[in-house]
Amino acid sequence: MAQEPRLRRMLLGGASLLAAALLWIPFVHLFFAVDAAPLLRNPGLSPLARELAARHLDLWADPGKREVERQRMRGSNAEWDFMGRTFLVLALANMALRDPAMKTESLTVIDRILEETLRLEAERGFTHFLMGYAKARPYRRQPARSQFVDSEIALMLAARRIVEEKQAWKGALTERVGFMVEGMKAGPILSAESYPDECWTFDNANALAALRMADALDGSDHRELCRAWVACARGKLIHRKTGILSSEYTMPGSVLAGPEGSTVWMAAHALQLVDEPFAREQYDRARAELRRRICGFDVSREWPVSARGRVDIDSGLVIPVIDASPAASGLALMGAAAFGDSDFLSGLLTSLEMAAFPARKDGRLRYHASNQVGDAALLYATVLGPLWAEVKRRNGP
Amino acid sequence: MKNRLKAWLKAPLFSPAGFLVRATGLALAHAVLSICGLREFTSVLSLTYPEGIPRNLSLLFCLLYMLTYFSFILIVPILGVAAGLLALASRFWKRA
Repeated sequence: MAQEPRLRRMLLGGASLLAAALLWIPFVHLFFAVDAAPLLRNPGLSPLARELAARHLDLWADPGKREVERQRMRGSNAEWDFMGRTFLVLALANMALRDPAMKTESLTVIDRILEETLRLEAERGFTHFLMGYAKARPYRRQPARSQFVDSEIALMLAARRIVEEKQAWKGALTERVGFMVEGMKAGPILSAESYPDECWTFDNANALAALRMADALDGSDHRELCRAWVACARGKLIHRKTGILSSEYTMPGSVLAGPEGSTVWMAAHALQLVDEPFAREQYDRARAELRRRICGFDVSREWPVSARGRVDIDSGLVIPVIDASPAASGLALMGAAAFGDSDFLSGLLTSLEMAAFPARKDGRLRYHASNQVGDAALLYATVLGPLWAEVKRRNGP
Repeated sequence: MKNRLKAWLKAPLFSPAGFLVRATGLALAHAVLSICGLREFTSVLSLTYPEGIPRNLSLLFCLLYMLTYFSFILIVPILGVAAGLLALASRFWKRA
């Protein structure tokens, strides 16, 4: 071999490398492949959900561990501490509905989360769960409230009460519903602020979902507000080129940020309780614009190709070349599960196995590349369904 | 044995031995970083930084780990397959 002419050796070597790459790369995904179809079909709890849940239940049983995890997240974004609670409560509520044996444990943890969250909000103000710039200038509407905090607390309270009624939470939900409705009606496009003069589609869609849950629980009727919001959103918030809802806008309705993966996947899921055809349309458009499939691996972009936005704490890192956003991809799991999109969900879970570095220990699963809020969102994606179905059943056609 | 190992290590890049030596080097680098626990630092991908370690250092460890990990799952097998293909091609070439 050493005597072979150098040029011939290099040509043969280069050709061998190229052939090997063509042979190997298309099949790499098979080593990480996850089939989501059984997960979507399973009316109970999948092993994946149980492993993920075990890690969260462990965190809530051990204040020391939970504090370390909270501080790590709050070091980057206080919102994650809060959203991690919401996703976990929604997941636990679905788990209790899927498996009655889980009900007592789920409700215990849900109540603990709610008590602690409401206590922190009362002691430190709602800005405790917001990024620092929430205090940089006054809210347009006074007294100030954040739709981000109100909508997710309302979701948590309603989810708990749907699994099993608890009188202590009834008044708290009614109060939260009042705040949200008042805030939304105060603005010309029926959206309340999350930050000073910043409304988010994510939060207002969650608020609408929470209102429909309250309707299912307390016999109220917010259908008219829901219809009006969707009409307003169709008129003022839809991005012209892609047809996807913009993410961020001022209270009067000037768009601040166009479509984003970190918003639309969850918003579409929340809108399933508000306007199913509109929710489906948003999901389909987001799938067409944001889904990226590379050799059997699926990821989500943060922005459509035709409407790139700026990198911020919500978008997270955007991986160059493949244009993948871990944050948007995490929320895409939720969207794909909510709309029964087995093909996309399989591809996303396959990417997760390959690039999120799963760590299984003593029946618990966490992802090294993720954090508590990411893992809670994933847990929610693996169990969602029964809670929304119950709300729809109670609300009727 | 020692001489044979030396010959392998000095094998030209575009040779079956050269490919295998590099594949082994990359695999060993990944094993060392994994044993040292650098996998923990991939939480930087979700902008969550391990406590008590400067963020720049965490980022560096994350990048190093990712580099060796993706080398391990993509480049190492390609080098292995290429080594086999090159050995076959060379044998065929010599016979011809």
